[in-house]
Order: sequence, then C-alpha cells, then structure tokens
Amino acid sequence: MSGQLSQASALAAAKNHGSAKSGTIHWWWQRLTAISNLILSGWFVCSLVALPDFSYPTLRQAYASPVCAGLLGVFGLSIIVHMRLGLQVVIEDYVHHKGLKLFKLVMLNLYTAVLVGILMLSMIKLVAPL
Amino acid sequence: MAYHQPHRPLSPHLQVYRLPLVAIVSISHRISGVVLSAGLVILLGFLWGIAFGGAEPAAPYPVLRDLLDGWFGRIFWVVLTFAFFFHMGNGMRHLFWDIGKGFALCTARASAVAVLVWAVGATAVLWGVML
Repeated sequence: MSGQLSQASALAAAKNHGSAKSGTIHWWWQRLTAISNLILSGWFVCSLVALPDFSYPTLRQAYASPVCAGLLGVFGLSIIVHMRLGLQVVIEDYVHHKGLKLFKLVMLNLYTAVLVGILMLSMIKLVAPL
Repeated sequence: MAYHQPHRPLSPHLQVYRLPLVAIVSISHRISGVVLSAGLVILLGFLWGIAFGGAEPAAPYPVLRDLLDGWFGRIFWVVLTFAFFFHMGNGMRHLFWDIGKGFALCTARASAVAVLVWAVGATAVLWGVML
C-alpha cells in the first residue's frame, strides 16, 4: 500500500517507515504459496496425465474421491492466494490514479472472495453430492 | 525531476531500448502470471460444472468446452501450459535469488536460458504425451 492509503501516523510517514512494516508478510506469503503451488502442481499435472481421457465422467470420477477433492481444494486455495498477491503488485505498479488504484484493489479482494467461494462450494459438492 | 536536470542519467526508454534477455524473461514472469490468473477462472468454471453436474455436466462446462474446441482451444491450452511451466521455472529462479544464490550476471543469463528451454521442452513433452 502506498503511504497515502495506509493508516501510518504523521511521524511514521515522515520517517518513511509506513510501507516497510506491512511489506514482509506479503513477500512471505507469496513465497510460501509459491512453494506449495510448486509441490501441488506436480501432483495436479501427474493426476491429469494419468487419466485415460478428459471426458466429463472420467474427470468427475477421478476428482470425487475425498483425497483428490481435498488436494484440489488446497491447491486451489494456494493458487488463489498467490494470484491475489501477484495481481495486487501488478495493480500497485501500473495503476497510478489513486482512486482508481484503491477501487481496483477492492475489486481484486471481492474477486478473490468469489473465486474462493466457487472453489469451496465445488469441493463440498464433489465429495458429498446432495 | 530528471526532466529539469538534463545531465542526470535516465532509465532506459522502453520504446527504443533493446531489452536484454534477462529483462525479457523478467517481465514475462508478470505477463505469464496474469495469463495464468485468466486461466484459473476458466479452470474453476470447469470445476464448478463437474461438481454440480449429474449425468451431464452443469452450467459453464458445456459452454467452455464448446468455446475451447478446435484451433482456438488448441492455442488457448498451449499458451496456458507454456505460461504455467514458464512461471513455475522462473519462480524457482526467484526462490534461488531469495536465498542469495544465482545473482552473478553470467549465472542469471544461463538460468534465464534454462527456464526458456524448460518451458518450451515441458510444454512440448506434455502435448506430445497427451496427443
């Protein structure tokens, strides 16, 4: 976040420490999810390549088991968090208008929440068909 | 401001400056990340259709399947898988930098080439296996 958007005190802003205090957690989560994405991508690609075909019944049967659906859910969450952090940086770097930047960052959070909702509902439905 | 101080060095003008390979690979990491973000929505659409389908797949699945049929679909999947392997390879390069390794210019050039070879190779092998 830029200094103008943060809640930093006047002294903190003057000392220019405003953004440094919240930057490391972003960096750290980006790396954590990078590593989990790497590991889970290996599983995901192998699980896809091992399928005889990509028809609907095959895909449904393959990912409906609790273990596969669970792994898919964790993989999806990891990917979505990583995407959220990456797109935040892209917006912060390339959108220069302050109001538009704030609007797009808020929209990104809403978008992320919708994607997580789609993922979670799909996982529940896959494992426990109603 | 640099504009008022003509003797100050300027950053490269992107319109006329020929980017070195490491710079092209660097910006491609962002571009591939944005491409993958777009691909994620499509994949979640398929997932939703699979999860909520009965004998036949549910809502976005048939539309997406028909949209990604034929030459457009081929290009889409090849671009998406290339972006995936590229972002994966270059992401590992970033993780090595994070632990302080691989900063020498010759190493950075070599790893950039390695990432490109990996991305092209992995994409080709994947589609070779699948087709």
